[in-house]
Amino acid sequence: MSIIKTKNLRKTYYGVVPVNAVNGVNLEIQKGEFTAIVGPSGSGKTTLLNIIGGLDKATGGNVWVGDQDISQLTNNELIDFRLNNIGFVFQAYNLIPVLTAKENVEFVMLLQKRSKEEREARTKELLEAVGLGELVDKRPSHMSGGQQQRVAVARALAPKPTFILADEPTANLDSQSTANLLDIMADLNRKENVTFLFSTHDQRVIDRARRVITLEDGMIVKDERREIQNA
Amino acid sequence: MLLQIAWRNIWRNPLRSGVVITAVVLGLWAVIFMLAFSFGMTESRTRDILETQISHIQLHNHKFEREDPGRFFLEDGTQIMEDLENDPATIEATSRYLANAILNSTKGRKGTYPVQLLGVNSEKEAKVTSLEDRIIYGTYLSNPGRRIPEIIMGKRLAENVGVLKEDSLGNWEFDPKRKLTLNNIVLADGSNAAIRVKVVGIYKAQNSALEALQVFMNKEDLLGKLNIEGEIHEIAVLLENGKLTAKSKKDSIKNVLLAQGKDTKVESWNEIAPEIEMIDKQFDSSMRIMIGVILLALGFGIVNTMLMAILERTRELGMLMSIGMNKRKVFSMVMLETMLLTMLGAPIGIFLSYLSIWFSSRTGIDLSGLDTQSMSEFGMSSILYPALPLNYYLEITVMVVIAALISSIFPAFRAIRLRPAEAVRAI
Repeated sequence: MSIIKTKNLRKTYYGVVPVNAVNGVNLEIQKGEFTAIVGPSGSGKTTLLNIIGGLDKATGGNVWVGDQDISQLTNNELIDFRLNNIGFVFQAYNLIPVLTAKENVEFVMLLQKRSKEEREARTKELLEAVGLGELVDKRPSHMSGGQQQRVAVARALAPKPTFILADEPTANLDSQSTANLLDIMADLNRKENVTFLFSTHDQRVIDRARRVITLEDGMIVKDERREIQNA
Repeated sequence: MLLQIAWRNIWRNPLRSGVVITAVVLGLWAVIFMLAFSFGMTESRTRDILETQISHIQLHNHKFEREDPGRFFLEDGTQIMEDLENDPATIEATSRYLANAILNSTKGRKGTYPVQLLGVNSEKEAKVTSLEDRIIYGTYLSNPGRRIPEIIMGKRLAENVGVLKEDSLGNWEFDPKRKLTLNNIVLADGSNAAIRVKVVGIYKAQNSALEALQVFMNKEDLLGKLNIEGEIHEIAVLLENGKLTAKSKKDSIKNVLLAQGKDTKVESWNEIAPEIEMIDKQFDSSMRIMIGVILLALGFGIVNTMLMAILERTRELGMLMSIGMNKRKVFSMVMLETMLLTMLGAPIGIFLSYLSIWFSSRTGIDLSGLDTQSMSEFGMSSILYPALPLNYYLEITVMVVIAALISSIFPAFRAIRLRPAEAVRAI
């Protein structure tokens, strides 16, 4: 069953010269996929992820997440939709600097109005799953980049989303941190069937993806599925 | 958790928040202290005028005219005076015989000076208008019955008629042997009389116009010289807490007198001198405008700080909106931060001003270095005691809360207008 589906998706930026950032993309992502969207700068990766994630509106075409055509939702409906259906991991981690690791993870569930017991239990479980059980009370400024990005992954998973969108998640990490993060995400994907959709330039991420979609000039030029031994 | 985030966000940049909080503290301290200063000034001026000139309530014949005060006597004045003296609300009451007169000067600034002659019970007058305490040269009126009746006059009149002379060193010299003639004393029947008097003392008044006009004399001496029986033109009453209670007390006195069939003119201080109340109200309005201006300036400072904070946190706000924090919550969070920033400074500023006012209301602020001559023209004292009733503190607190709310709206709107897809990548 496809959890993400786009049909003839288009996004045009109207400047002095109109630019088709996304140009007729038809795409289906199945539950449990570990997919990387790759392509050169300006190929439309981020724009495509933004539209799929409900952060930006398409100029034409449709996006379905499950049965919901999110192209039809208002901005306020999209905020609620994102809260309950999509987990985000950003290139620059983007944690709330004044909150501890634990509070950062808990915050999304608080927005969902989950009970205190449920929040605490899930926060503990997720931080242990990303290997940060001992750093729960540390603020982002006292953590390394890799640790911060692992908190960001735990936060993305906290609301029990339909899928996780990760925009260049390893761009600011060193090799060891990248390897650790990829291990954790692959593990979550394999064991808990969490769906990941990345945009990346990083060959180390591409090497671990089971599906690689290549974009050029806003169009899919290659869609490759493969078996990965350690994924 | 919004409150927790807002609180922690304030302390992300302690220097900047500290500057804003300090500005709020100093701004509020300045505005409240200034308010207390002005309030103390008008209150002291009003109190001085009431307790040295007009008292809280005055009673006259219903045809009484200030331009010709000696024309109509108060009907049953002695009985009314007795009743008022027995009233528990009365602190002190005094009755007066009034007459316009002319004082001719052959020394000093030679000329003719119109005066208002007040025949008083010296003991009671001293209590109602503090006249004895205000004697600066010579003595107060002694017991009546002297061959040449004693009078006291204001400093300005004494200078005019040459009773008070300035020597070559600039010192004022009082001539206690000086005798004068009060001419053209206008009597109730329209006839005129003249009396030779001796100036025994010079008083100081907050109001220099009255200082040049009023001459006091024992009523018994005056009536004796004029061959008139004990008549009264005016009764002046000082009441407990009289500034506030005078209006209602006046009504009750009037009703009692009406029930006795006496058509008496009873006036409270604000009717006798409406300009006092008007000046009070004008001071009050101008202070409110000043508070508004200062709060507006503070508000702009706070808006500027919060806009900077939002600009710095564009990416974070973008992230919050991306992960599902709705606009209402983002708006509330920014508003909370602004409110907290203001509300941290406000109580400190209010408390500091309360302390300053409390301290200076005991010690007083000496303004004698300023132009006290022109201050006394306006009936103001040179020692000022700042004061502010508690309801003003409450009003200012409400105004600060409103200012903080208004200041928080613009930054909060800026925050929710961010587009998450762009904001989350902001540098």
